[in-house]
Amino acid sequence: MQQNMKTGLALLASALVIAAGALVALRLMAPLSPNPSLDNVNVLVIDGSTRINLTLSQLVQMNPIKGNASYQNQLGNWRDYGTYEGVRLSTILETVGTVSAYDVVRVNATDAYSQLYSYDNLYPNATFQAIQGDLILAYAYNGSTPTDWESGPRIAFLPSDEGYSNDDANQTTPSAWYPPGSSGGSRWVYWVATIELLHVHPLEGSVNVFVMDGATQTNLTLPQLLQMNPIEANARFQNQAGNWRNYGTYEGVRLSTIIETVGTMGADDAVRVNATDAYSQLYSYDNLYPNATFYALQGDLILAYAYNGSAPPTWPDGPRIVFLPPDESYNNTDASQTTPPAWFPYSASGRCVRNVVTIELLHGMYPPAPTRSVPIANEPRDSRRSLIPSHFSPPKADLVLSEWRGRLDAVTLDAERV
Amino acid sequence: MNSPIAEYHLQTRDLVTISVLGALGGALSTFVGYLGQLLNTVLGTPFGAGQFLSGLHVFWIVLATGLLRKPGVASATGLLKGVVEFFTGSTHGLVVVAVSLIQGLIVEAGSYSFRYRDSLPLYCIVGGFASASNVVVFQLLYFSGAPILLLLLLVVLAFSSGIIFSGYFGKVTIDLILSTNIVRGSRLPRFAAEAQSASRPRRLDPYRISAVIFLSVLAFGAGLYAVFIWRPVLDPFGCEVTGAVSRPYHFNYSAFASAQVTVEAELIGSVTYVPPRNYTGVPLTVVLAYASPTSGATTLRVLASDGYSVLFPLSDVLANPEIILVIENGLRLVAKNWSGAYWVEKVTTLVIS
Repeated sequence: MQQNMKTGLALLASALVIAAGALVALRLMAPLSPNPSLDNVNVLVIDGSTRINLTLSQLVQMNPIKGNASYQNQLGNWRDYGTYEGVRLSTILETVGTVSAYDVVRVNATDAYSQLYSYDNLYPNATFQAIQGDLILAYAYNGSTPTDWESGPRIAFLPSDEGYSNDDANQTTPSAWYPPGSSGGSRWVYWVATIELLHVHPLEGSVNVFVMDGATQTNLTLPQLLQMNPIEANARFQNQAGNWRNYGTYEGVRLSTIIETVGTMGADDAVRVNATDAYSQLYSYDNLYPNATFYALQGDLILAYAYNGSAPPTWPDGPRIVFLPPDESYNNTDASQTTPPAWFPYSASGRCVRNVVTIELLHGMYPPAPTRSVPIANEPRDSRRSLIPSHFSPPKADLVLSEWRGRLDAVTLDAERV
Repeated sequence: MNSPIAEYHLQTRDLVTISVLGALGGALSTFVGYLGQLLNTVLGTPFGAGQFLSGLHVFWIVLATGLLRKPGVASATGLLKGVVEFFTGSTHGLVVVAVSLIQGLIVEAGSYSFRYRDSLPLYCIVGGFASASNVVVFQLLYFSGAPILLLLLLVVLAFSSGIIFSGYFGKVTIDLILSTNIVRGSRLPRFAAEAQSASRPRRLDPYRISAVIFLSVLAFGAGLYAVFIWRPVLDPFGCEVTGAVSRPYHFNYSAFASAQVTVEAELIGSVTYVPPRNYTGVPLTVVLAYASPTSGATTLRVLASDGYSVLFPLSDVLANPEIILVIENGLRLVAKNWSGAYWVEKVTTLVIS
């Protein structure tokens, strides 16, 4: 019995040691990936045919900066807080060429992972500087260089609050480069192998609108919109409280031109525009092809991709539906006189859908059937009223939610049945 | 003296012991799972560290076996524990019954081979093998393609856990309970002397103190979990939508059934893989749109009944109508293009903040 007890306690002690070792190993293996070779630490900087190999010793001599920082991972946890030392990415790129506002930088890791960075990331203005800080290629972490630091060399942001959060990343990264599942940490590329300067339009991909007429569908990006006879004008619009909002220069393409890429709109058709947050608005033939009366009230109806020269993501509301009346002012009366009552969201700004993702041509939707109105007088515009009316009670759902088409978050409300 | 066959019969008191321990083990399994997630979070590992606690699942089987020392006790306790786990809402569904039964059979086989000897090394070894078996069974059922080195590490960790929690703490708990005379009478007559010996009052030694501490921590932790973390699934087909919204409400799936969509999604987890297949459910965009998130809201936390939770950037969820709530063993979040960790089962609450 005594011997049994001794054997058992020996087993217990061994199990404790082995379990501790296994836990440490699990921690070290997360994520389980092959280690890159840490010998001959160097980074290849590329601008077209110009290629420069920068070694660690050369990087150290390039006006290094140092700062404390950490980042958030997908789960919102803060990771790898410490002191990062490195060289601004802009300084490194200037060794091979000149970075213009229309360029994009791609950073590739040894395991083929890559990330894109904009001019604003490299040369942050005051706003970006406050959010993200300096963008550097870090070659040292807490004093350890890549020969000892297994994640280096690594991209790092050095914000003044020492924390590069998921929100920071979201605000300073074009949405097309920041898909679902991204995090602050995903912008911190480790095991950096090459840094490429790409001379492409910087906003390509940051505007992506899905246009469809039944089964006919097309995707429009900014370069395509730019080739579609864009127009430019100043405008502003009133919110529910009657205040004027968002005066400035809008650049975009007539909604009618966009619709014509997928189909032909008739007088009894309607166009539904959906936003990323499921907000939507309907527009009539007269809105898209205004006669003299409508034109005097609303002007051209466009999908704006730029506001005061800024496109998304710098312009957070874009792409946006905008009316460009001759007097540069789209007031609530203009909106009510050019919108069927059943579609009117009680303000001109409510007609200007922001963050547009889909545009649908719906046949036979005009004129809308008479309906009871949905009182929303006290609801601020910012709440981005959803298509589901406030009086909708789930247990007695008499709402028709249909036509859910794959990735589109369009909801059809049959107001007749409400 | 009873006949040899009769002495192996399970008496009413044995059946009560099996029922109580099996039910306790099953009911506390969600707590053990929660502790595992907590351990992963603390250690910063995406998965796997929870295997350090897998021995707590086998603890109850070893406890029943050691207390009664009769054939069939381990298998019956394992089966009952699995069934209770299943009915109390295990996220593994029916698979958990098989896993628990196999653990019971392993303890049974080991104990039978050594004639139900009351031995610490025996409990450690059978506990270790039974605990490690869960990794193997899950791999056989959901082959994930995880590296073999990683799987071996998990097996080693689970085996160690079995030694610690099922073996050592199982044995000290058995001795502690025997000292209270609760089950002495039901033991096989040939083990009665041992039981009597174990039941003699002794002063508290480190061995018994460790049993008291272990049971106290387990009970206290389970109590905290039950009060502050665990949420009963009152409506298996609904959840609360709350936080920074204009209209907090109780989402009921049937009321939103007309908004159902079908998406094809592939679950790529750390150790679980489910090939692409169709899921039909209500997009989270609709569920959230009805609640109308306030303009400053930035995140969505999805909570499950066992305390598990994940955090989404709200903008990503609102921009993706392919993240859906489906009816599958309760309310399940299918997060297409997100890692398996984001596919939450038994959703109880959506918190926007």
